[in-house]
Amino acid sequence: MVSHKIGNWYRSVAGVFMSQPKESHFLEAGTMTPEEFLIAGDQLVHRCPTWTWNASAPGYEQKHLPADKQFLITRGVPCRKRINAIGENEVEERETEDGWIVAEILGPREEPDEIVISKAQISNEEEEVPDLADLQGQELIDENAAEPAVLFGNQYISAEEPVESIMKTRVYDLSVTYDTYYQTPRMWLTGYDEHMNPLTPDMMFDDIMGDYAHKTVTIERHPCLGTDQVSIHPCNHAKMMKHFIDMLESNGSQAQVHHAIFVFLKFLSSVVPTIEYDFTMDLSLE
Amino acid sequence: MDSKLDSINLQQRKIECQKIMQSHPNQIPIILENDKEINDSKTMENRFLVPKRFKFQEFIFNLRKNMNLPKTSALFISIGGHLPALDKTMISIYDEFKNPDGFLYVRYSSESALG
Repeated sequence: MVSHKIGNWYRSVAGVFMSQPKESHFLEAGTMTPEEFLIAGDQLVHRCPTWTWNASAPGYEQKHLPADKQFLITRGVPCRKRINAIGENEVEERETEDGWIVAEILGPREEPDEIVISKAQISNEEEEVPDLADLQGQELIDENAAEPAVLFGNQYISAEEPVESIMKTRVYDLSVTYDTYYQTPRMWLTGYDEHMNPLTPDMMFDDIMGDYAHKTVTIERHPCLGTDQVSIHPCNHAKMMKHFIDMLESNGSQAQVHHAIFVFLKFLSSVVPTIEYDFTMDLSLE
Repeated sequence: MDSKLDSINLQQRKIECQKIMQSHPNQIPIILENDKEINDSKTMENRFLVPKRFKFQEFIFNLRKNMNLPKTSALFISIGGHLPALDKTMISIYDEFKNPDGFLYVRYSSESALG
């Protein structure tokens, strides 16, 4: 929305001077106090160690948060394909006579992200265990991995992998700050291409769902780092959270504030579906 | 399951489920339930057969397409009180959360919550 851009400057200034809420309005409004942001952030870091708390750059300290817990960040999150490579073409749908919608995958399924290690390789190269230090940012254990001979992740580059899929692999640094104006978490993105050159905002828009790009996604100054970054505008985050809280309530349970950032990340994954930060999280609402 | 299907008894549902699974051995039978009646998706078909190998993410993508959701709407999907990880396969979700009748019940609601 155009109004975002006009209002951004005002809000960034107003947010600094507004007194931050002490009382919780999480359940009735979906907003969070800085203290609740801390609780939810601690929970995220505890459950998902790829996320860490960070300090702000000098001069950008947020007074309402502790110096060592200014914002959350996860680095090097893989983004193996562009959005326009998902979905379309791969699936065919038809309706049966009795009203079932049947989705079928067309043709052989390509799995460029998985590289099958042949048995011969495994038996001969048992000592070639990948260095754990090289796997930073990757989930090492996938509970759901069905085939033991398949390793996930683009870090094992083999001759068999189509060159194209390597070329396309981008990585993102994602950070979550506390937005003082909207009193919600807010996500920021910095992307890199396969050579670790920074992506331009236009290139990053390829990884943002069509209608969101240019509308809910804006380029603004990161409050904790002072650099210009792509950000998902938080104007409706509280409403979204509130909707989720109501949904839980109608199911007879109460939302917990320490789940708030998980929920936030879950929903934002519909904006950036190919950035794989969310893929290892399975959130129980009970 | 507090759904409209209460009127059909469990045994009937089981039989229906077995029938549909036999005719579609590579698919999972999913019944979509709206969380509230406030939805903007109008009347949509609520019975889906999706490939077992589908990732949860692909399922959501497909659902959005079927519902004709405005892309700025958030889609809330929970299965058995969980928000599954996006890279789970539908078969692993099915194994974990299927109803005794054999169907997988998926609750959804949507809201134009972004932008």
